[in-house]
Amino acid sequence: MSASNLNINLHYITRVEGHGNIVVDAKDGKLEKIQWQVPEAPRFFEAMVIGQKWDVVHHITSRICGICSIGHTLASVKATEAAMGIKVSEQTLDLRRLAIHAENLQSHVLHIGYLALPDLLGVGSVIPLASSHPEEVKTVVRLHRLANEMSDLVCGRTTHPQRLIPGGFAKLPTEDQLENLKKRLLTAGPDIVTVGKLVKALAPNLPSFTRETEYVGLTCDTEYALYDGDLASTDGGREPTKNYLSWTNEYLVPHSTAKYTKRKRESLMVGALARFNLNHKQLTNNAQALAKDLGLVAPCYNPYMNTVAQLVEVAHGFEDAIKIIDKLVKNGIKSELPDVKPRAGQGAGSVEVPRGILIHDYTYDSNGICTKANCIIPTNQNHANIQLDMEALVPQIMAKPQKEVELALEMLVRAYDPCISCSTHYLKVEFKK
Amino acid sequence: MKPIAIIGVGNSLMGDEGVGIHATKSLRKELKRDDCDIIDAGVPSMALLHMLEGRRLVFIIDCVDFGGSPGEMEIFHPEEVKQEENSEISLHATDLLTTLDVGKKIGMELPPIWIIGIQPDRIEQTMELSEEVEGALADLPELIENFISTGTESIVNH
Repeated sequence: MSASNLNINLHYITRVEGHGNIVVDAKDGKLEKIQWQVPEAPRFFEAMVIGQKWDVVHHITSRICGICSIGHTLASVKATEAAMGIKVSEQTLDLRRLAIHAENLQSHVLHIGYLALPDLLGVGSVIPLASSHPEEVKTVVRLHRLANEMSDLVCGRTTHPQRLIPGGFAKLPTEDQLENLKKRLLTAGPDIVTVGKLVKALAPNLPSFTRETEYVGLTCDTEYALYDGDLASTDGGREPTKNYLSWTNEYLVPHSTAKYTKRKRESLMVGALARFNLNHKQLTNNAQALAKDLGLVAPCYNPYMNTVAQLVEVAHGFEDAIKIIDKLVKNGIKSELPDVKPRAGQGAGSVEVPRGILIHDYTYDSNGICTKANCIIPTNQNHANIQLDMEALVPQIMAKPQKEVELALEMLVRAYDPCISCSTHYLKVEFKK
Repeated sequence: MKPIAIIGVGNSLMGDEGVGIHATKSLRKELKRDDCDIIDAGVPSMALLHMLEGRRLVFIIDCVDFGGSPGEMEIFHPEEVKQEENSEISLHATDLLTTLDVGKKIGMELPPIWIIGIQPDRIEQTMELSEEVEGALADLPELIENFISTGTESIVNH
């Protein structure tokens, strides 16, 4: 199809978590339609938790996502703690920081290695990479396994954590287990260098498209904010999570079952690139050096660089996790079981999950029964930005063959690493004999 | 890590599709061996590869459509089935044969792997297994016990 006529109708684009469609129509060089559509069925988690007790709500909301289940659990327990005025120990905060690192590492490694690298190498998936780049894929599998082991130790599972509960932890790792984890984490350095070299070699294949937008993330005076912080924006402003509604401003569009958000502009971006643009000076030295080496400089307005920002966060996460383990072991793991007395109240909790700020907000009655819930998911905060990026990008590239335009748009969506939902499948086989 | 892994995969929200998960629950109660890790792997995609290296033997229990009767069981090596090359799949659609193939291609030291496939009756939104598939699980502990202790050839039925 010639450049002046585009008829793109990509249903269920691959290598994203869930289902999204890209629709572009152009006739005689005139753009008639550009649309990022989310056709997923609504899932009603906010209704499901109503009537549920405070000590099961986080287990239910964890199921919103199989990738960000640690983040959903943490946002949930933080909201419950805010609603009931529950304070947690420094040890709990440190272990939760480890948990959020584990999730970030799991998700980022998965996205970089299995979902994004195939685009940069011009293949359809990680499957052919296993033949063409076996050592690199093996490295990614090794890093992913290490992140899963970290999650398993701290959270009690690789997915859908059981140990993270309101007030603290249901079960604690031992000092020996943490020391062993540290030994394993120390082996990750060369693997990150290997992935970094590959990404650096392939970075020129990333489109050079830029569109300045508002970058929103948590920010904190003392660390690169992942577990905790205030809402902050590159357009200015800093407020506590409890004021989140004036930052998210959710709204509906006819072509999507997902909610959209905006703040000062028509759209905003959350996720690794937003965090980098806001808080890059608080990254570890090695992570800052890696960013420089990969050509990632703040402020960066190229959404395709989100994947590079994720790799920088991987370097930060492994290094910071080692520091946290050192502190925990030095102080000694203290046995402490939460003693929560439920009470009526409302509270919101936020964390940075791999794809951006995640906010849960609950209201409880005096028996600790949830009466109202609101969950603001990062990918929903990015939908409007994806749409506006497409509207800016397509006129710049519409002279190219349609297949190239399609790939550029698919890569754009994948750069946001959207997490739309989960599905099912079973094995169908035919024997050779 | 124990030398033998028995890994159940599938989605227990989708009826017989979750037979692997149901199997791990019954095996934890019924299988009397201390050299086996019994793992509920859910839908692990590439993370399946994390569970294999360093083992002596691996069983993977899954819902498999091999054209049999509901509840019928087949035990086979991954190499025994035809595999379609499909590079355009997403992680959500990475079946276990593809994942095992990736492991082989990147040079992982994989142990002998046996897939215990159970023919489904219904795949739909329910947490209950069909009667036929539920019935198949009753034979599983003895089958695996015999498989480990007596070798494989005598009970491979195709």
